[in-house]
Formats: sequence, structure tokens, C-alpha cells
Amino acid sequence: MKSIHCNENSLIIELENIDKVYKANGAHALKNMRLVVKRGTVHSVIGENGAGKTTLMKILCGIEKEDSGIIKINGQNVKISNPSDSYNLGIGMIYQHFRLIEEFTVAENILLGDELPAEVFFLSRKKRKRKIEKLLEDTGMVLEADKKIFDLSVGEKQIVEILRVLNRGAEILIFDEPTAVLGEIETKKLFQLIRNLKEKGKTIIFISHKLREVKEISDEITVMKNGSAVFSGSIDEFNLDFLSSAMSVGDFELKEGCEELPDENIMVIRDLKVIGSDKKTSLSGITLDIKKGEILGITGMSGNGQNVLAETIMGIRKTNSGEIFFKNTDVSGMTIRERREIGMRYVPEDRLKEGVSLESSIAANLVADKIHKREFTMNGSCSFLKLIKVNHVESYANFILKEYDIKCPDVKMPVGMLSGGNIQKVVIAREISDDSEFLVICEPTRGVDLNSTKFVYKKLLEMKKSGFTILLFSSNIEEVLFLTDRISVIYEGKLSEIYRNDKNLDLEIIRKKIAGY
Amino acid sequence: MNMKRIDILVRKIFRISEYLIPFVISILIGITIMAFTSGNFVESLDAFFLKPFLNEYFIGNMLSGSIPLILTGLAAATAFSSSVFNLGIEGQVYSGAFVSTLIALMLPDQNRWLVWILALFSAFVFGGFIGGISGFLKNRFKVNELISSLLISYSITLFIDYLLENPFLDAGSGLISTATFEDSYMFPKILTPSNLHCGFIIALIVVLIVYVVMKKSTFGFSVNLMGKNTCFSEYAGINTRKLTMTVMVLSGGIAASAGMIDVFGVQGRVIRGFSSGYGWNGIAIALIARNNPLLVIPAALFFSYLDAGAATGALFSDLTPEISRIVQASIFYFITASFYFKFDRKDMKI
Amino acid sequence: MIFDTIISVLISTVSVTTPILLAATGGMYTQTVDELNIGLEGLMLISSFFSIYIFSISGSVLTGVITGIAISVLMSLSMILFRIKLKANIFILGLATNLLAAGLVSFFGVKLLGSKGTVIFGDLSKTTFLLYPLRNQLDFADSFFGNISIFDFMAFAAVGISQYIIFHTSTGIRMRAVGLSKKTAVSVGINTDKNKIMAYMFCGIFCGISGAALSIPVNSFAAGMTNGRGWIALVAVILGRNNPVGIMFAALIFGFSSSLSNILQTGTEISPKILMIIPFMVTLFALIFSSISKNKGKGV
Repeated sequence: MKSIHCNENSLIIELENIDKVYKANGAHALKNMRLVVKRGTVHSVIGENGAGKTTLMKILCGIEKEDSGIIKINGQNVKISNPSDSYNLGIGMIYQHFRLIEEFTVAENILLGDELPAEVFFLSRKKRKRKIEKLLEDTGMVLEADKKIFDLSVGEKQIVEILRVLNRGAEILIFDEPTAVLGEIETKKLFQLIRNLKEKGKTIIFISHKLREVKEISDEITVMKNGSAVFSGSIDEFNLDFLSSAMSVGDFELKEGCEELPDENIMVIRDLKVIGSDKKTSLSGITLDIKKGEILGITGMSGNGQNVLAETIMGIRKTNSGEIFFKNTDVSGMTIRERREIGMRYVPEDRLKEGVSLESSIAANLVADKIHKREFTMNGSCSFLKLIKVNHVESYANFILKEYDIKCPDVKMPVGMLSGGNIQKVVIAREISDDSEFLVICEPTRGVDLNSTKFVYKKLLEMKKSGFTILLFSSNIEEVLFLTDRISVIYEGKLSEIYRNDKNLDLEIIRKKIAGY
Repeated sequence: MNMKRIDILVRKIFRISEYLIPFVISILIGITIMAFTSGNFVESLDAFFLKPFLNEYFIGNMLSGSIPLILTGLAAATAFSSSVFNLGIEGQVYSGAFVSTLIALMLPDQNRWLVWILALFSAFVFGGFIGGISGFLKNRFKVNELISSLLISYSITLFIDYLLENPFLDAGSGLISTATFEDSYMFPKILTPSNLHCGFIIALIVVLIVYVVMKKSTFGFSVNLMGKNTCFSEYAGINTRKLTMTVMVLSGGIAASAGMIDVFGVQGRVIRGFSSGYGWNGIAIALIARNNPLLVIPAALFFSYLDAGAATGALFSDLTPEISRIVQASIFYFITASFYFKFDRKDMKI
Repeated sequence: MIFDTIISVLISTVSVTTPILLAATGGMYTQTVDELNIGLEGLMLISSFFSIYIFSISGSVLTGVITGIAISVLMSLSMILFRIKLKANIFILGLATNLLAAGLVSFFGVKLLGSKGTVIFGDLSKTTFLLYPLRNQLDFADSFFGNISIFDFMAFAAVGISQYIIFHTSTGIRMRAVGLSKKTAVSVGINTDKNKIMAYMFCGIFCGISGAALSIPVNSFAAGMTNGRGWIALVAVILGRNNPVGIMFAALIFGFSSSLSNILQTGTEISPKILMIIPFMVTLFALIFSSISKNKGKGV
């Protein structure tokens, strides 16, 4: 494949009528999708979260299989049924969430899956190191082959991913939201690298939803919306306004200004220290005041201690030192249930694992945290004798389903049969549909379809209006800008100062903080 | 509405038939082995499958054999439904039997009800204590309860072996066992001359109680939630440590009660190694019953039917009794395949 | 006297350790691909039966051992195929394997040997597998190696081989990748199913040797031959934390405490049953201490 050299502007990828429905949740991710990429260009694929960009790329990489449609690489019909096929066709993907093994060295990660037949018997560290050094020399990149991945910076990790696909002879490099995890300087370096790769004749597919970056780096562009291509052509044909209206999901823009916040703090955290699974996720002295009735956003790349902080606030993790006050009560010694009793609620990041029990019924999931309350049980002195009023539980569940517009025939069905968006609705419904006033919510729209995303935003803003205080953890900066009153950035377990989310907000500072400067 | 009902019915039939397939395959395997090993195929089929129902004696023994299986199955199901793995059932049965026998030996000439209640209570407490150690080790040191319960069970079994061989040996009996306690303490028999005794009714009552607690109470709700997703149940405010402890104690207690009921129903003393195999069978039954306390009864009856078939098969034909064990194990093997059946058909999605 | 004691402790430590170490090494491969096999006991049992039976028929240790390995591998592979093809739960498959092996052994015991109890194959030559070449003039080596069977040698060789496979071959690096991050493995084109099958094949091989190491050196077979060794091997896998050398030390801890209890049984008045508890308790405490050190300083 790689040896075929056609004229400069020949088509390297042609996708026609690609259709894909996820069996796991029934989501129609791609409908009649069309994508044509010219050789030696940087081709951006843009669209909002849930538009189907990632699914499309997973199909190109052999991780997902299309339901129907035609894939042509270099003009020839091909079938990509696994990642090896994809590598053999010269396609390599650089993942947003790096596919690296932290415990392995740089060399081991780059060469993973590309071991020579002879290495079944012996794997020569020296030979492998030499191979990596040659690769580094050819590409002009700098890295230490023997370093373990967990000692690398984010930018270096990305380089490892790039080297991995180059080593496999990739002609087409797919970057999935590569700048989402990078700071400004690292982004610039990446763009330079992409230009170098283009000069060497490689074809780049650049997936993003940041229009400014797309404008800067790409030659061609395809805009996706709801699983199909709505526009395609040269970058010069489009201006930014047109692009953003073409994508139009919601008006993600800086707020005009935010209302005055009351002085009353609902939560006060003082010098909180918690040891996480590694250095990056350990909290080293978090101090934070959350004002009553605000939405406070904490943004940052994932894996910088967000989950540890959220879990510590809710009592899932123990504190090593420091204090957490909720409405002037010290909660740091309380159990999860006690914290829930006084009005704290939590929507975890990993909903499917932590937010619901997939095999349990919808009704059970909706009442999981309040089953012991009087309205659902008959009298009984201990939990063995406290019998559940099943019909009360079911009528309550039916009421919630109606209220939240979740369509399903039977509340006794397992939650796992609902779509991702509906599962998120179930979680949010459980957490806010009783007398609570404080919600910790993590990545509320990750993996959620567009309609449900809108629903979630609407619900969160409604809650704020009714006096709720919300602590939002999100790595999606647009989301944070859209929803919150104040913003703080978390990096390696430390919080930045808090910025008011109004027209004076300097986005560059936020981006720098996210990257750790 | 009608379509919906049909849909639900279809799903139910689908689920039930899927559930029955392993049994059918396993019995077919058993029949195949019989065909190859037996001299007279028809005769051995009859002896294995029909002779257990020949008369009251065989039926009674079959039911009697199911009593410890029901209770150990229940002990395992209680633990497994909360994803806590108690593999120490065998040692718990053994120690329950031993403790209750001691009570009966120490209290001669008493009201039998008093002795029964005391014996059952102390067996439950002791078994619960043993189970609780594993619960404690899991909560305090994160030691896997599966392994700790097993190691403790081995140790307890050896220790009771020692007690039976030395301080409590009844030298006159010719067996390595304790002395036999008085006859009046034995549970009344049903269907004499078979071994069936009132313990069967106790077992059924225990099943019923556990069923109500597990399926209808808030405790059972928490247990099931924890079993299906420990992490989530913790987030929902359930104290999983306390629950793990309670479940281990309950499971150990029920297992120990199985020992007590077996001793008071059949032997009247503890014979060395009598509980050997009870633990694994209980685990097998719990898994076949998919941790549903009510389904434990048919699962245990089926196991005991296969054992009875093995006995009559050997008695009335030339079958090797071990066929039943192969059938039992292969059911278990095939049931695993559909055990974690997931809904992966898109038409069932909403 | 003391010299003799040391020798006999060493010999009995090694002989207790051998089957456990072999099975644990097998278990380690399955743990490496994150599909821990708890059916080690069953694999050992089935192999210990068939290896001694075929040995007794053919008169060749090698044929016996190979048959044991073949059957163990067969069962092991059927487990992982059930897992991959039918999405069965690996934990339950492990329990099923243990039960099935016990059932098969008692069935074939009656069919082929005509006995459910212990069967002694008295007329087989015991010396065929002793390591004569390693004997020399030294007293120590003489009495030590004179009592070391080829299986003991294989057990410790298995540690070295596994260390090599896991850390110095492409197979090992791929298996580790599958266990550490399945997503990464898939996206670089590693066939995870193939690696899991490979791990279960290794597991079958080592458990097969382990079973043979139980029955062949004593020229006999009993239905309770494994007597929980598969479970102890599992503890060793967990204690050894996926490292062949770590597993070796874990198995040696059990072996040493067992041999101590054996020695005390002959030297003291304490009941053997009480002494037999020692290794189980030592293992339990090792597990507790290992857990403490692993979780030190972590939150939650």
C-alpha cells in the first residue's frame, strides 16, 4: 500500500454511506456518513460532542465495525476488521485518552504489538533501544527510550503515541482531540510537528471541536452533526461564523456577566490532604469556599485529582488531614449516608460503574439511596424486618420516569437496557428529586447524546435557579464556561485561584493553568 | 399493551428455556456415559432415573439427602448474592455439628426443645463467628475473603479432627467420632424407615425466612445492590463493610445450622469427616439457583435426586455411582456459560 | 544430628513446595492476563490421576507426565474457550473445573482402577526419575540431591523459565499488556483472546506437571490427593504479586512451615492434626501482612 505513489492530490480515504448503531445502547452514531480525504493534506473533522467523530475514527482503526457502507483506501475497497488490518493499511490513531501502559517503558510501548517473530524466543533490550533511537533520529523527536510512561509529561506521552504509529509505517495519522490535554506551548509544538509530518507526505486527520485551531492547521474540513457530514470542502471556503452555526448545538460562549453571589458559604474546605493512587491524583492542601446558590466549576485534564476531591467531599475516601464543613458542620468524620441525610448529593464520573447498578431494576436504582425512608417501607425495628412497599416504590419510579421523560415499558427492567443519555437522567433524577441542596457532579455529559446533554444543562440551570449549589467537575472547558459562575483549575492535586466567569475572564490564563504553568 | 405483554412473555420463555438447556445437556452427557458403560442400557436408565421413586424408603432418603444441600446452598447463596465469597462452608458445617453435639452431650435429661434451641443457637453463633473472622479480615486488612475463609476452614476442620481423635473420642464406637447423645434429642422421623426427619421442615422454614429477608426487606435490597455493584451501593450510602460482615456471619451461621440439623436428624454424633464435600456442593447449588433462596430447594432436590439415582443405579443395575457426580459437575459447567447472560440484542433496547 | 535435621527439613520443604510452586506458576500466567484461574486444584487432580495411571500402564514416566499435561491443558483450554466464546464467568468456571475434575477422577477411579480409595502402584520403579547425575562425593549434596526428584528440579526450573517468558519474550510482554490495559493491547493490534488462550495453555502445562509431581513420586493415587494444594497455590499467586520469583518465595513459606510441622510430628508429642494447622495459619498471616504492606499509605 505504502509504495503506491499516485499524483499529489489523489484520494487516500473515501468513506461512503457509513452507518453504525451501537448495540450496547441503541445509539445511532453514524448515518450515511461520507468522508473523502486527499493525500498529503491536513483534514479536520469537526463537530460537537456526540456528533460521531470518534466512532468514525474507531471504524477506521478497526476497533468498531461499521454496520454498512464502503471504505476505500488508496482507491481500493478494503475491510478493516481489527486494529492490525488498520495498521497494515497504513492507518494509525493517536488517542485522546492515551492508549499507553504506564508500567512499561517508552520503548516497550512504542514497539508493543510490533514484536518480531524471533522475539518469541528472546527480546533484546539493546536491539529494541537501537531501533527506537533510529526512529527518534528519523523523526527528529527527543525522548528517553528507557523511561517509564508514568514519569513522562502529557506532551511526551503524546509523542510516544505518535512514534508508535510512525514505527508501524503509518501514512495516515488520525489525531483525536489532541489539544484537549495540551497547554498552549505544547499545542504549538504539536502543530509544528503536524506540519513536519505533512511535509514528509503524511496525511493527517485532525479531530477537534476548537474552531480556531482547526482554522490554523487544516487544509480541508468536514463538519459532522448527528452522525452525518453536513459540509465538506477546503478550509478557505468557510469562515468561522459559518462553521460555528453549522455545528450549532448550543450557544457556548462567554457569559455576559454573572449575578452577584451571596456571601454565605455552603461548603468550606480547609487545607485538605488526601493520598490518591499516585502523586498526580493526591490532594496537597485544597482550600475552597463554595457559595450558596452558585455553580462552581473545577476544570482540568482528567487524572489530576478531580475524582479524589469529589470522592473525599462525599466521604467515599478518607481525608489524611484537613477539614470539610457543610453548612457549618464538620462532615469529615461522617459516613456517606450521614452526608446524604444532610443534603449532599453526588453524580460520579463513571456512571455505568458507580452511578447505577446496571443489572438492578430502574426502580431499584431510583430509590437506592432512600429505600430506608418511611415512605417506602413498612414499620420494622431493624433492616431485616423492615419490609419494602413494592407498589410505592414502583409508583414513585413511574412518576420520575414521566417527569424526566424517560421512555421505558416497565420500571422493573434493568437499567442496563437504557441508553447512555437515559441512564444519566436516571442518575440525576435520583440525586436531585428530593430535599437536597448541594450537588457534586462529575463530567455530566461525557458519553451522553446531544438531546440528553441539552436536557442535563437545562436541568442544572433550573436547579441553580431553585437555590441548589452545584460543584461541577468537567474537563470540557466549553461546558464549564457555559454553566458556571466561578471557575477554578485543578492541576496535580492543587487548585488554582478562583476566577469569576464573566467577560473579564482571561481564557488563556485558564488554558495555561490547565497545562500546569 | 398487548404487544408489550407478549414481548414480556417471550422474554420470560426465552430466559427459562435458556436456564433449562444446561440441565438437558448434562443429563444427555450422563445418558451417553451410561450407554457406553452399562451392559443393559434400558435397565440402567430405569434404575437411575425412575427407581429413586420406587417406594417411600427411597423417596424419604432422597429428601433427607437434600436437607444439608438446601442449607449449605442457602449459606452460599446468601453470601454470593452480595458478591461476598464464603468458601469456608465445609468447616462451618463441621464446627456447627461439633458445637451442637457438645451442647447435647453436656445437657442430659433436659427438655428436648430447650436442647434443640440451645444447640441451634450456639451452632449459629459459632459458625457466624468463623464467617465473621473472614469478614473482619476483609474489612480491616483487605484480605480476600474467598481465600481467608478457605484457609480458616481447613484449619478448623483439622482442629475438630484433633478434638474428635483425642479428647472427645468415643473409643467404644469403633468409629472416630464423639459419643452418641440420647435418642430423645433426635428430630422426629418422617417416612420411616427412611432417614427423613423434621429437619427437612426446618430447612424449608429457613429458606422461607431468608427468601423474605433477601427479596422483601431493606436489608435484602442493600445486599442485592451491593452484590450487583459494590461501588455504586457505597455511593448510594450503604455501609458495605458492615454489610460484608453481616453477610459473612449470616452465611457462616446458616452453614453451621446445616451441621446441627444433620447431626440431630441422622447421626446423633459427629463422625470424623462427615461434612466432606458439603461445602462445594452447597456452592454448586447456590450457583445453579442463581443465588435465589427459593430456587435453592429445587436445585438441592435435583442434586439429591442424582445422588439417589446413582445409589439405585448401582443397586439395581451395573452402573457406576460416580456418574451422578459427572452429571452434577457438567450442569455446573454449562450453567456458567449462560450465567452472566447479557442483553446484547438491539431490539431489546430502548 | 543437627545436620541430618537440616537436610530432612530441606528435603521435605522442597517436596512440599514442588507441586504448589508448579501450580502457582501456572496460575500466575492466568493472573497476568487478568483472568485468574481458580480451577488449579481440579487441573492438578485430573493430571495426578492420569499421569500415574498411564505411567503404570506404559511404564514410562515421560508418557505418564505428557498424558497428565495433555488432559490438564485440554480442561484448561476448555475453560478459557467457554470464557471467550460464551462469556462465562471465569470464577465460576474455576469452581466448575474443580467439581468436574473430582467427578471424573472418582468415575475413572472406579472404572479403571476399581477403587475409590487410595491405589498403590507398588511395582513401579521409583528410581527412574532421581537425579543421579547430580550426586557426588559430598555428604550434603549426596543426601540432598539423592532425594530430589526430577519434578522438584522442574518446579524451580519453571520459575526461571517463567521469569524469562514473562519479562524477556514478546509473548510475555503481550500477555502483560493484555492484563495491564486491555484497551491499549487491542488498539495496538494485539489479539487479547489469543494471549488469554496462551496463558491458559501455560497454566494447563504447569498444573499438569504439578499433578504428576503429586502422584508419580509416591507411586499411588487417592481421590483426595490434591488436598487443597491448588488453593494454596492460588494464595501463592496472590502473595507473589504476579512475579515468578515472588511466587517461589510464597510457595517456599508454605513448604517450609509444612515441613516444620512434619518434623515436629515425629519429634514431639503434639498431635499431628494440630501441627498440620501450622502451614495454613502461616499462609493466612503471610496474606494479612502482604495486604497490610500493599495498602500502606493509601487512602480509602
